[in-house]
Amino acid sequence: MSSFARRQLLLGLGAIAGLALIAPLLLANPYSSRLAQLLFLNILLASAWNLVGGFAGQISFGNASLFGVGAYATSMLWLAGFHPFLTMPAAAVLAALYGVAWGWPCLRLRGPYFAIATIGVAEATRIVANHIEAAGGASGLTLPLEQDLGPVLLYALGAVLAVAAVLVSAAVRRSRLGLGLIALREDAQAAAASGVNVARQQVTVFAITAALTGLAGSYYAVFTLYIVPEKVFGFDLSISLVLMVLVGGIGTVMGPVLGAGIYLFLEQFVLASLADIHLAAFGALLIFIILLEPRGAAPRLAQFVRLIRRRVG
Amino acid sequence: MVDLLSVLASGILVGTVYAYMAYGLGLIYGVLRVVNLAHGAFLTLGVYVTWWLNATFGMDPLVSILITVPLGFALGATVERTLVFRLRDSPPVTTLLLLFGVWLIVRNALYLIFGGADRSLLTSYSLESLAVGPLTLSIPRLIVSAFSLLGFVVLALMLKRTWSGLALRAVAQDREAAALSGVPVNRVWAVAFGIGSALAMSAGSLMSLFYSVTPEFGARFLLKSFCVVVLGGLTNIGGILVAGIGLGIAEDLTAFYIHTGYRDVVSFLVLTAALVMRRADSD
Amino acid sequence: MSPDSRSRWFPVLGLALSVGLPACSGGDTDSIRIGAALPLSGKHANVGGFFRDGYQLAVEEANAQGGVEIDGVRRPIELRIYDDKSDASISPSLLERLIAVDGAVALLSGYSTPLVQAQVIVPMRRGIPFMNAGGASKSIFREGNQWVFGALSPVESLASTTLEWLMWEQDQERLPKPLRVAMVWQNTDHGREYRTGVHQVIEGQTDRFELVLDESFEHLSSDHTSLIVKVRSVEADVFLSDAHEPDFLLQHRAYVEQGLGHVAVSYGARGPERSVREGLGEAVSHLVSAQWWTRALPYAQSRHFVERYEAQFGGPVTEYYPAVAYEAARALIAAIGNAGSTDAEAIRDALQNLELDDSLLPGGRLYFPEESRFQIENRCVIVQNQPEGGVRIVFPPDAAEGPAYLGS
Repeated sequence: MSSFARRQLLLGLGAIAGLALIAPLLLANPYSSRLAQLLFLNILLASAWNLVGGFAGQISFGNASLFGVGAYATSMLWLAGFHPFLTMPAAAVLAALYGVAWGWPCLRLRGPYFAIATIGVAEATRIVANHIEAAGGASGLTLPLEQDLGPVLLYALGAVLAVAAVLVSAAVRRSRLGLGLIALREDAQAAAASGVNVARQQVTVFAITAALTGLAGSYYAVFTLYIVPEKVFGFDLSISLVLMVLVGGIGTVMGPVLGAGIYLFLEQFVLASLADIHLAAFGALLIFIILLEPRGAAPRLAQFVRLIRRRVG
Repeated sequence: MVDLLSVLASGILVGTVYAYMAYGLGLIYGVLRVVNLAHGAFLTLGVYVTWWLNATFGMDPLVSILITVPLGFALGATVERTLVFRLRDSPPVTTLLLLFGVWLIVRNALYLIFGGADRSLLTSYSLESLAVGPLTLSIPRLIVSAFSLLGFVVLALMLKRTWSGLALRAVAQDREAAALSGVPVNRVWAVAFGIGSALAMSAGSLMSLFYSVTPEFGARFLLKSFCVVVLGGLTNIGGILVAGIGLGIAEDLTAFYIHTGYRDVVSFLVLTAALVMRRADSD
Repeated sequence: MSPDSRSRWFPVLGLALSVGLPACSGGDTDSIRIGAALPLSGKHANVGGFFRDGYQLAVEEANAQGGVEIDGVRRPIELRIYDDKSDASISPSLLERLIAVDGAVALLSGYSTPLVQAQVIVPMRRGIPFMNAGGASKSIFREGNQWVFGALSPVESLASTTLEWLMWEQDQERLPKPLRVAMVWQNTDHGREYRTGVHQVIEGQTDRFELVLDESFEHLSSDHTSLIVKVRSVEADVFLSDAHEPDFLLQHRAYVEQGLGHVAVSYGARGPERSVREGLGEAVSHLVSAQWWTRALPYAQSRHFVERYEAQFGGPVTEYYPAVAYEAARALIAAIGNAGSTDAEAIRDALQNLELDDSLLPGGRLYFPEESRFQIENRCVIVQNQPEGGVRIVFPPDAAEGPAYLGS
């Protein structure tokens, strides 16, 4: 085992242990445990989006299509009698397959073209899902409340998924694949000239993004127990991922995690009382970040931590 | 047979408006190489300004074009000067995200001012129709279609005959060469963004005659605009007109012969397919 | 270590921040708190406002009479409302917050079937009484339901009351037999249940009805012309559509543009809304709609509500939303009073046994039958838009204000 892998494993175990330690605090009441679930979900989604959006620089507005596939796979298998845990691998695989199916042609497009194509795919997926009667059509599916996993198990599941997503993200960033993508993002022509197979690398990473996003959809279905195409395939969901990652810091491992937390905080506390301006607030935040802080909050925070260390040390 | 003709007529009438609403998007892309995700915002603003003028002063939507065109131009040029211009050296996707932020703000402002309810605009001729043989054609749809065609003619003449049109085309073809030969590129950018936005807002004015007025209006038609532009060729007036009509017909045929639910899938699928096939022009 | 790895601990910070905050919210411990997450912004914002008004009116009335008596002490009711932005994923977390942080003893619903479907998971999980005034679909009331009570009759009753009216007109020999019916429905639970309601009546009545079109349409479609061309091609006598307001506006516009005409046209519950007349003018005259409540109902309690509501918010009240919301909140408060306790199970039992004889809903009585999983089964009223504005009750006969106009 390489020293990097060992360190990652230790960090991952540490994070899980840490999350287990603060679990009693979060499970104290249903609202805080719901918040923890949403935070884990956001981390999973944002980290997954960042693999292609951040490392490869391909902005996707279509991740909801993958999220929805995961959510529906889990729900339909669960209703068919499988234990929800058993449905999760299937959700990941199906989402990855669907991701590759449309990612493979679309990833040949660059920049804004890719972004627009993803909107088209996701919206088409949503409308088709509205008409699949076997999956409940536009009214979606209700899952058996009697088989609810309960807050403790949901917390543990979410924690493991979120930590795993961050570790995968770190591993991809370190790998040949990740370095190739970043080289590509910086200079497509040079990377192509140096023998990096542009499309194939992106598709590989996109498959990972899709699998993780499908898992997120699966997790969402398991804790909300009600899914509907308008939500799980919705454009708003796709947009929220872009915002999370941009706010946190695009193209870094910890940026999406930070962004997921900031986004949840804004959504649940700041904007619940200022409801009428939530879209505008996100729009203004987006413009602010793009014009003034294109690297997001993570580098600033890292700077701050370094400063403190220097003072203390 | 009558059904097929009715469906085709409806497709053609709507298709000309699709072409008109999409043209601004193509123009902005052609000149600035910027994907204007705020296009939806300008369409929606056009619809609301027109509806508000009608509700408050009883102004006819066709007259309100005289207001939405200059207003759209001013707003568009302002957005270009204050926001888009700062990102002239950034990758195009950054500008796309920035303009998306503008759209979010506009959508929210409309919710705040007018609420989320769907509204309709009513004029004396709103619900009139004309019998042509076995067909029943809606008067407002006929008028809107005629105005869209007229708009195209005016635009084509302007691009061909005026100095600004020439400058726009020069910058669209080769920015550096245009700059070298003395075209004020910065100003041309602002003008192009202004014209594109004016087109979008006036398209909103026209469409308010038979579509509902809602803050989500732009979201419904933004992707259709992309579809028309990508299909028709970015600044090719004739191509865009054909693509718009083609999309209108395809949608109505799908709705009639397959299922109304799949109507809006057509544009999304065509858009993605057209993009993937056109990838030659993709950097 | 790289700056990246150092920032690994930030999520913990974010977590601590987001968890530390909800703890700080108190209030008057004397009052009994009930709560609702309503769509006050977003696409259902206008309807959400009606619900808020209806709920508030009921709470104010209860408090004007000294609140409710709990363990021998009269305590005021406090209503806490959050805005779920018409978003089905935000709504449940706000209900969790109402229960866990604000200490709500019972909940009132939001509006629209999908949002309520997402909401009911929370009260069912937590064991908290939930009064639903905003979602009529039967699918909301799951098997084994103990906690969710419905003050809105099922969507099927919209359809069945409409057909009962048509049959009554046939019996008066004002409509022919059989009637050719064209029906289109929105492809959601709402639409599907409307369709079920129509089929249930028609199946036993083949001498009276012939269904010549039975097709779903996409909710929030951008243009309905093709659908209307299809409706025209089947040459029906009656056109029935189950649509929500956005689709209704576009569908009826296309209907008029294409020059269609039927002896009776109904868009489910749509028609009397003020916004509809503003948008389509004369074209909505004579539309027939099934209503869960209407202003002209001849009950004392209904008149009382109209007076109070219009004095406070202006009138005339053309929508059923505030009335049903008011009635739902009134029923919940009455049940809390009957329970004489803030205990969830006591309130639930009181709701199960509740019976109001002075209800403003059609039929005048309100109780939650166990057979229908605690959703009321009151019949609807059929109203017809009048050319000069306003509506007139045309069915059932005992409440009717006059005969219906049956078009060409």
